[in-house]
Amino acid sequence: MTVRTAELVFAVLLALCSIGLMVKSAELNIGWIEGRGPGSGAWPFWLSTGMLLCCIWTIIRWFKRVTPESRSEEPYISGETAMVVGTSAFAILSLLVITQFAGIYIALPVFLFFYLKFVGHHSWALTLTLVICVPVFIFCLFEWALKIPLPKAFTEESFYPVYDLIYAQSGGERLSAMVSPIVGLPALGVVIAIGYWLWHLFSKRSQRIINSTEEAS
Amino acid sequence: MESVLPLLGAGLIEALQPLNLMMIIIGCTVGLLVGAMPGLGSVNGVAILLPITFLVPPTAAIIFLAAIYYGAMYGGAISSITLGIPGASTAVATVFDGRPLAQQGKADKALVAAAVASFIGGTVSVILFTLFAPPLAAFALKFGPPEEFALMILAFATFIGLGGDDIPKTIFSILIGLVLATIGLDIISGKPRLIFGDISGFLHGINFLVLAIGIYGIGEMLWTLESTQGKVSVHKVKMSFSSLLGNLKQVKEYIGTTTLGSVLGYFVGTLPAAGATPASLMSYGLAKTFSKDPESFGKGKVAGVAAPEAANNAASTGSMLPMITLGIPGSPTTAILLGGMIIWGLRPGPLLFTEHPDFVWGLIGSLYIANAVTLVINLACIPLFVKVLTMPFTVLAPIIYILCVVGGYAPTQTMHDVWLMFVFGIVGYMLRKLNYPVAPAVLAIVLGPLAERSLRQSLLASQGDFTTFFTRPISGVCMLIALLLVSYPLIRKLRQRG
Repeated sequence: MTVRTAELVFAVLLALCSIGLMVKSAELNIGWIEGRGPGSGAWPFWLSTGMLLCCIWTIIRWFKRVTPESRSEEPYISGETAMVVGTSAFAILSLLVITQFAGIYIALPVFLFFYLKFVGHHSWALTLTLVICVPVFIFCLFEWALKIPLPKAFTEESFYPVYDLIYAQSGGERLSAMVSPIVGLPALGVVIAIGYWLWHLFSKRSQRIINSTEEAS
Repeated sequence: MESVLPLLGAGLIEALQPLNLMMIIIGCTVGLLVGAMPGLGSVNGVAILLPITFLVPPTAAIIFLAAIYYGAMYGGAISSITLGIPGASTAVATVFDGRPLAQQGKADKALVAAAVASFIGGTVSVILFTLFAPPLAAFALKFGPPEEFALMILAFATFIGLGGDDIPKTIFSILIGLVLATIGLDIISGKPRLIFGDISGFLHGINFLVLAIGIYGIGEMLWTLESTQGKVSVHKVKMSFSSLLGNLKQVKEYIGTTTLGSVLGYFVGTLPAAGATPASLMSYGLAKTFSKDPESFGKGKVAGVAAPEAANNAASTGSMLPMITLGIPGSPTTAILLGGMIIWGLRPGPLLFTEHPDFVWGLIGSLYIANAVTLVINLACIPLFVKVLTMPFTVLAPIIYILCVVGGYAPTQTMHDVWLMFVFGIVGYMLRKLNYPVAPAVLAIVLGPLAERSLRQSLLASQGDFTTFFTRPISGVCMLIALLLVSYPLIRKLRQRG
């Protein structure tokens, strides 16, 4: 599809959306209500009408070839761009689908592993570090510090020991929560990852490992 | 002036509170990093990180976000100079002379000039802000619903008249932002509106953050991915303490143009559609015009780096003036800041000065401190920021996508909003490829509820008489300027044909 075709297709689609919004607004009162002013549908109705007029204006300009987009015969999305952008869009879509049905703490490691290993071709060390540390960081920031529970779907129950840790009243309760796998394993993973990177930082190899993508690809 | 000083003093003390000072330091550092990343600017950083501010009180939160805004303006120069890619559109003019300087092995000279000019721009503009904000807020106290509505029309008209984008597409962008703001319960009758498919998620409306993160998080990253394909080359920067001192001594070469650019940037920044990008380009043009050696611009002139950097920093402060005093944001970033203030339970506008003086003066005080903190962090950590730029895009992108998803979920805690954010991101990216401007839509969704309320209140008071907007003096002037702005592109076209 060329940019010129895309310009027309989008103008028509947006015009249809505008008509849909007008119809939806007209389900409410779009006139004047005595003593209460304009009806609740009036404002969105006239705004949608304005949107429709803008789309018609764009379509007229398309026929007259006024704008650079209406004259351009370049491809709207080249094959290379479709590949690069499409992969990212697909990865985000997968992240949302998995979050919806299996919870964010399954979705995040899967997404990171796919993006870092298959899109970025990064080293195992970097991939595994981020796969472990990013979800732990997100959990600590949002659930622990901000008290915003993130979606967990069916994995909710397995997080009870983590909640025990967060809301523990005594050191004993905290210790018993620490030995549960859902707390202990990610914590151990973070400790190993930090130790690994500190060791490499002092031996000045860390930047090479991070940038291994260029060499690998 | 005398009455301002005690308030400013109290604001500085508020900004120096340990939590607020920590927020300034973290915000400036994050802003510098965000600004330095190609494709990311202050608007992306503020949109993505706003949900994190729920952790701290409103004053600390706005200070944190304002510091990001400030830091990002400084940081934009780093990628413009070392990569030749502007960190954000606001740093485009910095590339003209910054890149040639880097190619000549003088990247350190350019980076120091950018940092010092940003400091001068920030300082000049924050002094102007302190002087202009209280009288403007006092004047705005006279505003009723018709004046408020006329002012919003004026803000939208500046996008049409001065935005420089395709006019029908700009108007469409404004209107769709306003329509999206109407989704949910009607603010006056309480009736549900535009609830598509009876999906309950629409009942709480569309949070502006969902649109902002979708467009400036996901959409922007896809755009950057397309434009750079992740391939960038970094110019190395060697910096020692003695070279830093040597470069600092050259300030006298560009102090004049920098000060002029700062004042220009501040006033251009106060205009809603103008902002930092045209301010920096105008400042560059001004520096070139007044230079004794205009031919050397574009070939590695330090003043060519300093002038736009001073202007874009000054414009960022300028854009906060209408946001704080009138409740009208001067840029997409301040639109998000304004939305944040509504979330924190504050009503932006002139009453802020009387109802929450600690908040307003704390913010103003923090701007002074953020300016100095950013200069120090910037000069001390330039090699570190350059190192961060070598981080592969395929590491940065997934982390930003994750922050977008979590940030989109946090305000309402529904997956419905996350899906909407994804749709906005993809649609925003596709429309941007066809030259549909996205900033007016973000501004409109933030101002939408306020615009509708003031319109309906005005019409109710005038019994449906639309001339009320033209017969009252302040609203009449605003409407007249708005009409002139809207007709300006047409006049310009007719003059070109003539």
